[in-house]
Amino acid sequence: MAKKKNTLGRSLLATLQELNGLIDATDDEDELEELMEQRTELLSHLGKLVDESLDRTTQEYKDATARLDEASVSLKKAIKGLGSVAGAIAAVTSAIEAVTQLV
Amino acid sequence: MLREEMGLGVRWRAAAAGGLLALALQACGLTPAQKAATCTFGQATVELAGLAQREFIDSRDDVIRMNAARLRLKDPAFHGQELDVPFTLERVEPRVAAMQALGRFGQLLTTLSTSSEEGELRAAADAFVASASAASGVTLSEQARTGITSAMEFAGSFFVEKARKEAVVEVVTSMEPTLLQIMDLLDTSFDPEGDEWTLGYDVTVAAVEGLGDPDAKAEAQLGKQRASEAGAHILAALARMRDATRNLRYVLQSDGVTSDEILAFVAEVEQARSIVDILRSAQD
Repeated sequence: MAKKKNTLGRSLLATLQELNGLIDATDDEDELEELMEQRTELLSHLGKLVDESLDRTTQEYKDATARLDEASVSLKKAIKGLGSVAGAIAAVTSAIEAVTQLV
Repeated sequence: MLREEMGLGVRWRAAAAGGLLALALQACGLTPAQKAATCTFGQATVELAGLAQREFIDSRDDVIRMNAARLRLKDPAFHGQELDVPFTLERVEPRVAAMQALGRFGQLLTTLSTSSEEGELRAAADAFVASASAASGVTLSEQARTGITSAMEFAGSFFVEKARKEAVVEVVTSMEPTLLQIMDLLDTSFDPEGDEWTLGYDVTVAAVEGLGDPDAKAEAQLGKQRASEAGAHILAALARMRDATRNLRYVLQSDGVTSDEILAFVAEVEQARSIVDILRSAQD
């Protein structure tokens, strides 16, 4: 099996997919509203990334990709009830901040 | 009388020598195996280009359908945008044009290996040069353009088979950088882990999945299955094409070389077409 490339676009997509899962699993209206706002932000960044060739060797690129991967882990934990939704929202916010520096 | 007979003899010998020379030069032309390899490679190239071109267009249609569903379901992340984002015409047209150029290249090779009719050859070469020039993502050097055009002048040649071989070699050699460029475009576009074409498709699917509508989600996932399978088969055929391109060069250099890689390319393209046809009918 081919090794997965750790690109910003693919990391963003993975975060979006996990976020979709948490939206399905969350009942709290305030948290749901925050998650939907984050979904809009992630989609907006993803829309700009398609076909864009960013320099993958910069520290900013690596940091943003790493923060997205951390956010995905937090979202997964929250879906399984092993972490808080608030913690996942904070991790996604941090990842979006890093992505905003690049896109 | 004697002088006349002697003159006749000289003319006869000259004609015989000319005939032998012509036969020798014809023998320097493409062997039946080389002709078959060139023709088969050309046909498979046409087929692959058509398959990829249709996949680009089908994916764009899918994205438009998915975005229409997002609009209907009042997706807060989708407002004020065109229905075809991220597969706008600016993204689709260069890819479709590149596939048209690739198809014309395949057609040119097929025509070159089978026809000696000047008008037909000229039309095939002109069609290829025009499509390659119109494709914004494809670079055809002036040297290649001139080489391909002048190579078509063999049809009127007395030593047509020798000149045909030179024309095929000229086209294959001069097209190599352009062909590599088109193959790279296909590779990056259909890379399932890349940030190019497939990312655009996957993002739209994920956007629909997040809306919680089971019908829209199921339709998006069916499209995704087709697009992923089609992409994987196009990539497999493309890998075979890279080997077949090298194989064709060797086959043209020596008639002792077998065209195994070209045949593998043909088989892969045929398989890709059958599977994609089945998936398309399932989606329809």
